Amino acid sequence: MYRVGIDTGGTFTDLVALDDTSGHIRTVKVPSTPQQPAAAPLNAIAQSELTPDEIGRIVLGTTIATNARLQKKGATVLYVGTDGLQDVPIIGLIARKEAYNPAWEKPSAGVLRRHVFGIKERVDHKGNILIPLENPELERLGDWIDEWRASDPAQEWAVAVNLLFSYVDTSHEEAIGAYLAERFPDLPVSLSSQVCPIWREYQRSATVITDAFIKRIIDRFVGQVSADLEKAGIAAPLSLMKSNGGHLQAESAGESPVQLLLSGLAGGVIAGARFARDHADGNGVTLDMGGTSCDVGLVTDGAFGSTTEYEVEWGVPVSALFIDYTTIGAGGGSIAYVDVGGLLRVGPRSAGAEPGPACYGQGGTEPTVTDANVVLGRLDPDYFLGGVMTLDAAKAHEAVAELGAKLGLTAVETARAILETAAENMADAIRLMTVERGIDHRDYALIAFGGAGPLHAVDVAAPLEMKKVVVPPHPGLCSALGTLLTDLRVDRARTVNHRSDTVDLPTLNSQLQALAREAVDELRRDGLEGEARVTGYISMRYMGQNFGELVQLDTLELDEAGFARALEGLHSQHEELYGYALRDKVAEMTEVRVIAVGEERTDVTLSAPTTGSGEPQAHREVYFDGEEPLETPIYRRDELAAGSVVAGPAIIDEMDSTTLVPPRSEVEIGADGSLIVSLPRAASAAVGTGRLAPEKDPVTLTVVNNALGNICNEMESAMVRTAYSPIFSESRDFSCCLFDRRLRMVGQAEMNPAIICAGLHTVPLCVKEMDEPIEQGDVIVHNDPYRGQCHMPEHLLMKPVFVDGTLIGYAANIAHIAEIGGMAVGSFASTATEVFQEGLRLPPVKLLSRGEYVKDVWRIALANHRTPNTTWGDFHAMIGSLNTAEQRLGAMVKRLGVETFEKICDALVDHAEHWMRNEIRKLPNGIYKAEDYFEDDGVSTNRYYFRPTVHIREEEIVVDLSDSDEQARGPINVTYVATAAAGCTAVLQTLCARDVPLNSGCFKPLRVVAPPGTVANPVFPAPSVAGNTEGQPRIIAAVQHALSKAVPEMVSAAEGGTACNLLLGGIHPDTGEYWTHYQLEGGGWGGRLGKDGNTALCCAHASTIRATPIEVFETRFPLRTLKYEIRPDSGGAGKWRGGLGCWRQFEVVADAISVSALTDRMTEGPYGLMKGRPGAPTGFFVKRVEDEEFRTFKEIYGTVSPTKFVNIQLHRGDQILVRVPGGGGYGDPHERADEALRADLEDGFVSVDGLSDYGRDASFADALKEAAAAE
Amino acid sequence: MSGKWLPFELAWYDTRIFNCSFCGIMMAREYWVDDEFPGEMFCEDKCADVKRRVRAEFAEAKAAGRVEEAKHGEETGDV
Repeated sequence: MYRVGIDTGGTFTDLVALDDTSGHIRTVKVPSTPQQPAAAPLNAIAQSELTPDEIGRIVLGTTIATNARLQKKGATVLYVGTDGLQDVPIIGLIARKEAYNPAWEKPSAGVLRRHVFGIKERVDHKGNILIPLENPELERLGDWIDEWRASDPAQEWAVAVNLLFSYVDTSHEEAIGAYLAERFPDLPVSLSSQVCPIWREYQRSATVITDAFIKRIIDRFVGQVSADLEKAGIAAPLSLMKSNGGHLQAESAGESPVQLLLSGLAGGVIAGARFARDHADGNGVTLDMGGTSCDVGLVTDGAFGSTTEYEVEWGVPVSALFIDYTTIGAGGGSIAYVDVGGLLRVGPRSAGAEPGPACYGQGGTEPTVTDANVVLGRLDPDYFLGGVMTLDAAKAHEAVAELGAKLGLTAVETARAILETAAENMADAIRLMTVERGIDHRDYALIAFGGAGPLHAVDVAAPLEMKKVVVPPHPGLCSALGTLLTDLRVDRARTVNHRSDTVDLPTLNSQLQALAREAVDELRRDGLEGEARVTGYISMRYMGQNFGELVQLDTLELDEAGFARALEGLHSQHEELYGYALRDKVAEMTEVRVIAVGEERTDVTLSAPTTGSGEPQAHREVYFDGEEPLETPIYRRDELAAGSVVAGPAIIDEMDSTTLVPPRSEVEIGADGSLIVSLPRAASAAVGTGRLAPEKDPVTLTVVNNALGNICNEMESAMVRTAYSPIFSESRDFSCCLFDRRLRMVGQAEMNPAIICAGLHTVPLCVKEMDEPIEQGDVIVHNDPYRGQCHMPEHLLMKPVFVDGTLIGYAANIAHIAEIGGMAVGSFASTATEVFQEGLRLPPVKLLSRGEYVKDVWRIALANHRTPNTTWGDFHAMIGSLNTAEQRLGAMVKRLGVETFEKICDALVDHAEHWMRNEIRKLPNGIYKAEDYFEDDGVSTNRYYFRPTVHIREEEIVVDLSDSDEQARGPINVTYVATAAAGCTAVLQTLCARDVPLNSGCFKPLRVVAPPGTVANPVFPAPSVAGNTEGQPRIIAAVQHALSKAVPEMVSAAEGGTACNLLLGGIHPDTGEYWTHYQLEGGGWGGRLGKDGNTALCCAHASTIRATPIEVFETRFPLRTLKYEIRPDSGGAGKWRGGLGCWRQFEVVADAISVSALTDRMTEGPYGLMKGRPGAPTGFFVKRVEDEEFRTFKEIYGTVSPTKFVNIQLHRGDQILVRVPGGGGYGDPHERADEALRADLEDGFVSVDGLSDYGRDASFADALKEAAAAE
Repeated sequence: MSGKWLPFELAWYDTRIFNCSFCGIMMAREYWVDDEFPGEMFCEDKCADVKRRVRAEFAEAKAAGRVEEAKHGEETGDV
């Protein structure tokens, strides 16, 4: 009997059939059939010449779900959420990508607002049912669904249900599921409590929407394949690969199709694991490189890792279990280009199959990775795909040479640079998967497959100092082979709630065992006949953190000793990952998980030919790392017998791949046919063209620039995972950057621009100001707003980095510490008149000295903060991120050499400066002016104006705020660095700075003038806490408004410009301890030329800010969210409408809490541009339990300002309403297209009343209804 | 341009900070004194140059009516 593994991808469908008796395999490759996806697997079976009786089992991996989601070709999803919270998937994370790109578009979670439904029910975080789900609500839901189905019967509909806290209590979702199944038996319904029972409602919504989106496609595909198999007389059971590396029976596939999202990608890693076990002691990095992308996976001790985090696109997560791998846009078709700043880039844009690389001769003219290989002689134009396709070498040369002309390189140098850049991109992906997790990749082999993997493997391995490359047999068929090497596998997880100091072991054990039973039962349903192997895990974290580490258990029956071992597992994992552990802190257990595996793995016998000529078929000139080509022997793989050894340089061709063997290395043919390339140490040479000095070499510059960015990203990741405050772990209000020893910023994560720009000034000042030597192991802290902080809560933690005793730079993390004392809970003293009321002010002092705590400083800080435990945890999270940077930056500089690193930094800084000057030259010279203002300062009703004058002259810009008002008595003053950050952000966004290295050089041609004593640069002891959050967006808006006189097409109308800062705190009724929380909201962006403004996003100056999930918020704090909805008509009318703001409504569920607030623009909304109308203004309102309606805090509590007040005491049942502003409109609203306005009406973004702003009346809406009825 | 660099002389317990008289940036250790602007402290000599240039340019542009000013609501008649 044969087991048949099939991998059906976008271009080809591969089949590997395994003879159960002999272990031998046969292979087939046929074209995929995208129009009829189910046809290709049957075609492959037909070509395999297996008879139906010979087939014992079929395992199928498919990219059908991946492609459907990526191409957005799935069902129309109707989304059901808890009433008042049904807009969760529309609002999303409120974070943005590309901090300096005003044209960036917020991704969609996959549902339109017209298709969301709020159902009346409510469960709290403990599982208490607050509002029961009644039958009339179910009927109302059913009627709503009926209406949609009736409106378009031809449409494929599906339903996604995601109720708040559904992972705690599943009963309401189950009731909805049962009702809909009865009323609409043919309607696919996905329940979040079944698909992904995890906390964080947005992540869960995106996952369940994806599940519903692909359900019909998977059902249809599986049904068609099953029917075709039956028709063909094949009775063998059919299984599908799951994203987690297991497989399941086809009949179960439709139950939770999100598990199949990456079905077609898992096989490669599984196959890689087999070859890692056979040839590398179980430790391998898999590199699956195809035409457009490259998938990198990790195999340790013979097993691949798993992850629950995957993003369909940025900001749209899917929480399911996936094989842990990463994909980057590097494939044969990846296009090479020179960016606006003059650096060479390769990918992620791809030439695809059509027109394909230039050498395909199908009209492509841009140089690709494949073209570079042709130029270097590494690909044989006459033997591409085994000779099926002939490549046009002249066209490849032409395309590559043209690019080279821009770089000042020859065609050969350019081709080499393209390949090295692509290889470095892949190497970086590997570093992120290994080094970031404390794994030394040098001890791993690189397992290279896919059509392009073997050709690039040695170039990827060399900079990583990996010593062995393994190219499996049939490298183009590895994913199909992988499907045969899988086990039946079920992963199950449940949210739990235990503390290490009070753990109830019998309950914990019963939770684990119940989960294990469920998992094994599912395996049985999937066909398991033998025993299952079950492994348990607990997700643990230190009390206060928000992300856990998954700790593997050695038993599902934990006694005290077993639990102690699990706890030690947390400490050691934490130490390994972040450089410290908190052994004296209480740990929290939030999730139990089991992996149940039914072993089905069969040994596949692979073998190389026992005989073969072993002689090269030809010779040709191939370029390696020297200036001249080498006469290189070309072998056919099937002519190389097991045990033979070929010395490099050599090229080994086969039908679907080519393996490169560089000089000074050799390849041995394994018994299984694998090519095992041993790389010499010399192969780990530095990158670069070789002809140029590193600081002049575009490849080296790109590589180092990327690496500096990646280090900052690793810092970010360490911070998020270990922080205590939701403001870090959820809202991400911090930034990470690197400085060289000359105090130039040379790397930054793509994070909060306000903080990044602050770092530019505060790190150098801090170093200069330190009165004592800075030594290895030191960590310096300061939060002084007069010394370069945006405001008091922002704390800089900075660590010097040494290499062999020589100082080479600094790592810095600037983060908003949630509570630092002062007059207001949450340290947002909106009515402060002196800095002393804003909290504890620390000038630059050491927190650690030579790695040891400076205990006096810690004691002073912790004694003055209201939540010292949180500060303790957050400071350690920051220190952990600095440790990560220290290790990574140190290792890189050691590899490059200190002197070379400095020269490279010089070049990168010069490069950025050059780019910036070039861009400024494109702007018209002139002097432009505008103003914007605060409505009050919290302690008086005076307006305060910012009045920037923007001088553009040739290649420099001066933003001069000298005309601004004198500093205010209240805390709206903007510190120098916050003003400078605003000026720079406004300019960088206008210039749309994306590809350029955002280092110190970028900022050199910009000068921000903010004379001391003004509202744009207060002097001691003026308060400034509001200046950062509210003043910065005001200055950005004013500068961009001024620039609208110069380049109206490059700026947008004003954004909402506030995070509606709400500070909550008090004594927690559950713990009796102090709690505080900083709540942030996302408003609307301004409309732009050609695009509406984005809806519900953080302010321009704070790109990484995210909203705290409602489920995290309510679990931690005693408030309940009653409403979180899009705010209709809040976007300013315009040809391109302003983005919309939101409504947020809370109810207090403690005896008393303290509320402070800080926002502005309550009377006048963000301005419109080019005849666009203003967005709707902001506001805070309160309704006490005894009141009938919401009123302003000023009306009820007599605060001076309606938007700035502190320490208002609210009580159980009182409610707060936050009105988040929309953005201004751009262009004449009368010119808004009918189609766009119709969509606005349908989605409730514009109401019928709001039509008048667009010059339409109710008849426009009536016509829409009539048209719909007629349809 | 002429002038000189001078050091700040502060005791270790003195936590005051000084700002550039023109651009406002914080200064540590030393500052520039420009002969044309006595009594002012500059973060660097270039900053004094910028002050000279920007002030002159602005005065000239203002006199010639070449300062372009954006006002809220000007295009919709809401000013």
